[in-house]
Amino acid sequence: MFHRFANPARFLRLAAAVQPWAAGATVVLLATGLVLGLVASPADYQQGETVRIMYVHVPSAWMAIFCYSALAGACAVALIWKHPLAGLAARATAPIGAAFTFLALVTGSLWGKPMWGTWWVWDARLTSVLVLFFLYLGYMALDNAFDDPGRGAKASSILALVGFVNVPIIKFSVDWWNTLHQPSSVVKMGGPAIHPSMLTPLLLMGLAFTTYYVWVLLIRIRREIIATKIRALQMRQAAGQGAAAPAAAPAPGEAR
Amino acid sequence: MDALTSYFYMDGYAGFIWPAYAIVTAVLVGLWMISRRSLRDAERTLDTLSPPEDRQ
Amino acid sequence: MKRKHKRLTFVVIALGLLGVAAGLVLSAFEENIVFFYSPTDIAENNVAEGRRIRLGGLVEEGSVKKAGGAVVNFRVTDLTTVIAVTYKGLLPDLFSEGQGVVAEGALQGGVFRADEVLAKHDETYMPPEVAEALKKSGKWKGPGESQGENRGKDNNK
Repeated sequence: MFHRFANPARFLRLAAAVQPWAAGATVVLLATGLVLGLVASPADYQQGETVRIMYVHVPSAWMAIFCYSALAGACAVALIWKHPLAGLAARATAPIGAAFTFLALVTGSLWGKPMWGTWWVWDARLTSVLVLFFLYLGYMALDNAFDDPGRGAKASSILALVGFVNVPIIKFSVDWWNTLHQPSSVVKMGGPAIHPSMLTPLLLMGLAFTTYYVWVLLIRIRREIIATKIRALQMRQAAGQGAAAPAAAPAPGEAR
Repeated sequence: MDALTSYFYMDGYAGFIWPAYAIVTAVLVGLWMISRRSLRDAERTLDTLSPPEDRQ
Repeated sequence: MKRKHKRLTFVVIALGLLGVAAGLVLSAFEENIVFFYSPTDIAENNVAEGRRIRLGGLVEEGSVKKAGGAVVNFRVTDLTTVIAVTYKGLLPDLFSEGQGVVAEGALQGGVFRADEVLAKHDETYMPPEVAEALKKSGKWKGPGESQGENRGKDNNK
């Protein structure tokens, strides 16, 4: 099952089939979520209208963690089982995760200023999320730092796996230490502490961000597969010219 | 018209809420456009390297 | 197959060790990771006058007094110990009686002189009408009633 989709040619066909659905779902979910979040949902009894920032802040933070878990998982598969697709998926995930982390930080700051009274504090939650952002940047920098893509992938995969210890720290920081950041409202004992009129747009936006991730991920993985092909073709052509082989010969493995 | 103005005023929090949504929109749309262009460029490069009938 | 298993075992063991190491480091630095201290922490540890520290707790009901010239006096409680705070400046919008607060400053003659006051938000989100209805029906668990809720645990309802 797993191996079937690990074949790049099969994956490309699957990606082409799934991508329009992911795109459509993103647009529909986003439109519904935005209407509910920005217009139809009430103001909060304490935060007033600023509660609307939550509808983009919390899903961004969820995706920041989700993407990092996916990144670490893909890196583990790439390191242990050497699946070529896992490495490409990791490389394609990192910029999306970094973007979500950046958005969680910025939107949180825009909420914190009027509500807490500060743009930023160095409490355990905010600091650990900033560390997550730097882990993404470090992963991407290391991934591109080597001339040999194989070595870059190995070094960056190890960094991604080491950085995974930060994920539980982020999740439980609000429970383990006292922080300025509030504890989780949705995942908690005794059910969510959010009124349904606010929980619905929040979950819709969460779903929309997830399908957005799938959508852009597929585009980026397709690009990575093609880039790998290009690299292989260029190397073959360079080798072919050196050996004066016929340049017009179809590249083996590319023809079907 | 007045209702619309007061809606955008967001009870005085317009300066925080709208920038938050603007940044999210800019980053998500931007990342999508960069990813798509990058895929298109790669596809074009592949076409110049090998005739299309050789692929797939 | 053999090499794959070797790599898998290596990664699992390395991650396990890393997790243990991270846990040890974090528990060693627990003092520094804590963002604020409760009034009881500060009273029990005899925090020196003038030492900069963050005080966190609830703003005691009925304790907020505007002293003019943007000076506000209030008391912060953790339901055991109470510390009087004086602060000059703008208060965040969430600041109110019964609400969580974090003040940064130092003790001076038994009074906590804050130069920054941050409001702490709890994890409850609801429309104002629902909050009103809950207050009326006596099922309120939000700010203002948290003292009663805590007592409820001991009194067994």
